[in-house]
Amino acid sequence: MGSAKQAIAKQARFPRWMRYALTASVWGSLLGGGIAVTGCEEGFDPPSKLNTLRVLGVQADKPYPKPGETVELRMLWHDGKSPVDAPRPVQIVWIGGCFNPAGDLYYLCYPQMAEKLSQIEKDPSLIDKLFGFGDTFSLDIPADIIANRPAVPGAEPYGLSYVFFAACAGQLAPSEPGDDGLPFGCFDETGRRLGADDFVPGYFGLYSFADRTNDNPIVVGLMINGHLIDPSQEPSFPRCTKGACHDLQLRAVVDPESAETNTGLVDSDGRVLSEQMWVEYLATAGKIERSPRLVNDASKGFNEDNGTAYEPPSEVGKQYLFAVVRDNRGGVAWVKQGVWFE
Amino acid sequence: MQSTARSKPTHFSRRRMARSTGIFLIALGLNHPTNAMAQTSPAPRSDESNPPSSEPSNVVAPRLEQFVSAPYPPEAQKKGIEGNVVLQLDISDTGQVSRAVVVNPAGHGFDEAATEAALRFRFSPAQRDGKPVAARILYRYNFTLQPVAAPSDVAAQEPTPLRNLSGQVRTSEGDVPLAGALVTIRGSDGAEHEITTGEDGRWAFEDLAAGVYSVRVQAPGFEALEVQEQVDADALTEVVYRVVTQGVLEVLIQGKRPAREVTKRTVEKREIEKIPGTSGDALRSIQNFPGVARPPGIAGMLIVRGSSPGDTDVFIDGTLVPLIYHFGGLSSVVPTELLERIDFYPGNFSVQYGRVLGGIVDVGIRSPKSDGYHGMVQVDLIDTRALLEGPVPFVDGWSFAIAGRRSWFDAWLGPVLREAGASVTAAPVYYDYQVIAETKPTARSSLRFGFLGSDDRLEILTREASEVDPILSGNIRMQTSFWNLFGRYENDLSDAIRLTSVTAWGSQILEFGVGTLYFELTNYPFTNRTEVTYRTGARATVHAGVDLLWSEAQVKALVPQPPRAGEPDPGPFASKPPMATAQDFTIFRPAGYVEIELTPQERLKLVPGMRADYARDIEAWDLSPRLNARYALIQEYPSTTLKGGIGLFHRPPELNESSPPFGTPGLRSNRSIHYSLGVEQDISRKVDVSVEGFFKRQDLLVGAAPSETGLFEYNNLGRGYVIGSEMLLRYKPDERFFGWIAYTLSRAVIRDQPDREARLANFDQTHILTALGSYKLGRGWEFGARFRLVSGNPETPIVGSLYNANSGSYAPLEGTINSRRVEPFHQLDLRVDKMWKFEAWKLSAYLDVQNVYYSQSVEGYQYNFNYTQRTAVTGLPIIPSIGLRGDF
Repeated sequence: MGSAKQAIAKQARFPRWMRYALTASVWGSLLGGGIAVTGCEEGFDPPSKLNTLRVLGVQADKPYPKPGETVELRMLWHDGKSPVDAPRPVQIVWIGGCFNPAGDLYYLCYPQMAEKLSQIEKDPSLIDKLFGFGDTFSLDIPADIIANRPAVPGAEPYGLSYVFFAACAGQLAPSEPGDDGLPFGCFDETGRRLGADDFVPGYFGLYSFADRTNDNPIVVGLMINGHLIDPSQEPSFPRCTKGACHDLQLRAVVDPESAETNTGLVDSDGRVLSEQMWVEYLATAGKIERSPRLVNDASKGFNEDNGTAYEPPSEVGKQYLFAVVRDNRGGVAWVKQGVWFE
Repeated sequence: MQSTARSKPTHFSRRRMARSTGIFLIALGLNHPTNAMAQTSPAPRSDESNPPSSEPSNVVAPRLEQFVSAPYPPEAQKKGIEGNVVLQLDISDTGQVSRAVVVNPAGHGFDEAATEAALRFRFSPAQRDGKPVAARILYRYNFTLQPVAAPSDVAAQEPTPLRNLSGQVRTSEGDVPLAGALVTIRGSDGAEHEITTGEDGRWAFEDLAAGVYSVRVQAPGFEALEVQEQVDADALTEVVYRVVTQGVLEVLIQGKRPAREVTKRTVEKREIEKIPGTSGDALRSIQNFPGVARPPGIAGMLIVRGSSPGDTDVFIDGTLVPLIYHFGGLSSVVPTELLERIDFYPGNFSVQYGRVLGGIVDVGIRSPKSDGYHGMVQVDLIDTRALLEGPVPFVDGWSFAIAGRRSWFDAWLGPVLREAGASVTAAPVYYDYQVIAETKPTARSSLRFGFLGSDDRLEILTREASEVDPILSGNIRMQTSFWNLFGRYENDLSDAIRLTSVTAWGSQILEFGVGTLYFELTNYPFTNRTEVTYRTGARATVHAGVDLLWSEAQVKALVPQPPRAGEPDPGPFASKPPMATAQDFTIFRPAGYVEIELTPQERLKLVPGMRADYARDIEAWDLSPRLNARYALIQEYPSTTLKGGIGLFHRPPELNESSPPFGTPGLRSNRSIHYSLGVEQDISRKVDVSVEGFFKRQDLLVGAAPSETGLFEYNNLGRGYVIGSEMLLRYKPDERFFGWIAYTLSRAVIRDQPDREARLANFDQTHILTALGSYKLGRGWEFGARFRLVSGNPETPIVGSLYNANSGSYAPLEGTINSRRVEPFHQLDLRVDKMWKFEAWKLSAYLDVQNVYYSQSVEGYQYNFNYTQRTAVTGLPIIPSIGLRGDF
């Protein structure tokens, strides 16, 4: 599907108004991508396989915080390199303080943040405002965040806040930029720079509107083989053996009503659009067949067929299954379900 | 092309002698330029007992019945100058010469004298199937000084035998001697003599009685040639006949042909149809020419001399069309069978074209046949197409052609996509259609109406969300379609003035939607291209014209802020609020131009021109002066020609760049200066080579940068250049073989903004080598191969990634843009054809296999979810294509 992204990226440039030649390439890309789907991931561990340190989601209690509000952020992460219930010590750092970067581009936060960091010596209190540690973080949205951003024609005025974070199964420290260009890194006790298996930098964008609101999706729970599992329970299932390996059918139970109307947006025929929602399935062992899955299409509506088959692991023991549901307005919710394989 | 030429002995007195001693070939049309072939006779009066030829195509050439001797220009006679004037004669169905145009002037008063005399010629009209029809021929009027045999010459003459009719048979294509041709002559007494040409194509008859002889030339693989010759008993008549390959067709690709050029480089349809890897699609064959880069993957794009695909315009019969290929290049939107010519200008094109910085493809549609009903049906794995043409029933003087094509790979691609997890709402399908009606109101004019259209569409509901950007999932729909209704009028108002006008109106639709996002453009362009050509004399021809574009366009879009060229990956769209717009635009872009073809001396041709463009959307004029030149360093074989050009080119900014809400008012047009210098050299009769260097300096390129407000705004601060050279070594097609080697060396560099590093353009390909050939094995079999070796496309390395918590996917961290290349591309394609001829029709079959040795050429890289691993995405596997085709 990477080609589909490229396709719309090209299209979004609005090629010459009278020339659709580029569109031909879009066709080509789509067809090529479609044909390549069956083999494009061959040789890669799928993203649903949690065998490294991973950040799985950041949830804001108010996905569309109003100007002047404080928003609480909570991170879901998992260290797949450790035993299931014995993760390594993981450092989590949050960095706030970027508002309305040029072009809404996250990487154009860097000049703005560098300037703020340079003021820390003069104003040490900035540390508390800009940095946070641990699984949660509070961010104050400036009261003038909308007013300070020039209006974009064709879009309702909004403000944009970026929060950066990093999860490190080692020690975070400033450093000379590595290959990735970041001015900090994650190091083990010997001082060796750790890679993507142990270090996850990232960012989260929060949009603020004067009138629009958004709630996180409502995930009722995880259904396994047609039974809604009580999250407080950890049911058992047969593991996969040579002689018998029976897939489990997983499905995140999402309240269809939580697919809200996408205020102000209509399709080309004038029909009101709803949120686009999707669910990502992940497992600490075993094999998820299809992920992510569409939960709600903006124009076609709710998709009941949003589950996946899951091949249990061959090892005995406890594992975790995750279903992370997102909407396209910053909303996210998840369910983390422990299961035993015997 | 068929020709005869003959000359008299070379001892001359100064005694005045002016007569036509030779006739130079070709009937170009009997209301039907595609197949009609005829020869004119030099004889002042034909033998009426000579029956009309029944071959080929029941066509009888016009026959000169009344010759008018032109007065020998006194000045030329005084100086002892001889000359040959080639005239183009239009002969009505009553045999009168309605028009005589000097095609190859001789000066010294010869042109005027020959024209005046030719207009008083009287012919028996050409005939098709026994009916008189109008025709156009080329006629060479020779002015020679009368030879006077000196007494000593007479005394020295050999008594016997006397060779008095001899000549040589050559192929029209390649102009090479043809051995083994059978030359048969028949005198007025009905007696026949025949002889076979030698290795040098020469032949001779001796001691023929004076009189008119019918000469027939036959050779396997060539159209039979019939002419009549006047033979003197005591003088040698020497002729050269040029025969044309059977089935020669009229589609020409004029590779690297500068506008208003003196000569044309042509590639026959036989070549186009038999190039492996193109499935016989003429427009796809363009991609085998020097200067044209290989498009990535199966994308159907024309990338000319490093320019982006959007910088090359495509015209069909003078009307601008928005796309040239279906579904990323699987086939073109106009069937090859309808094409008359393809003009391809990779740079330094004429001022008649504008609004682009790259190249021009101008496709001409041929006239429908009028000598009965003809048709064609072709079926292969991709699509089916059909053509029917002939005279319009019950309407005199009109002919028509109707053609259509529909893909049918939806039958197999749909299941493939479903297997991949997609729910196909509307299976991918394309079709195109063409309707042409044409008449000739007068002998000097033609009128054509046409209706062309094309449609590609697809709708898929995918329930798999994208790992890269989940917002790009759900309902995916695309449609590109257009139709054009046009009228084309041409009139030779006089011998010196010609008018051509094409007016078109149509609709163009582009729709693209993924999930929440969509972009829809509906456009109703009205265009007019009118040109008046005035020939002021042998040395100058003036072209003046207008190029009008007016359109009502409607845009409806709901899209995130688009990324800008040269900008790092902005990460997943995810939760970015999309921008909505629904706007109506009126586009008005008129242009006018003047161009002069100057021939200050025989060897030199200069074509200066000036074009003025106005774009109302930016309220600005662009002036584009241009100059092309050719100089024949050596005119005779092996000829050497120098050529060059310099010119200014402009392209107005896109509407989304210049008009709110997306654009920035006050932009100017993108600008480029083209320089080129080259040489064409004959190596042998069959082989020639051309080498050309080019340089394109680009500035005022539209780019974007953050403004003081923090928003991105467009500006004209981008710059760049393309430098390179092209070489084409071509073996001209003969009865057995054709082929060429094309090589391009180039470098395209862009600096998007002054504060950015210069980078390689996205379509930069350092080396592009194409070698192809096709050989007729005999008995209807033909075998061809094409090999391509091309530098890998530029690639931007990914050096890390950031987790985007809004989407759950990763944003790549890019290194220097286009700082690496993927591995070189190489591929071998093979093609085998077999044709069976029947009495009334012929059947052909082909097997076209692309990527024979399964070269897994890298088209790009696929990364894992967090960009820490990658694997190469290779191109298409071995693709066999089998086709069947019937013609009647």
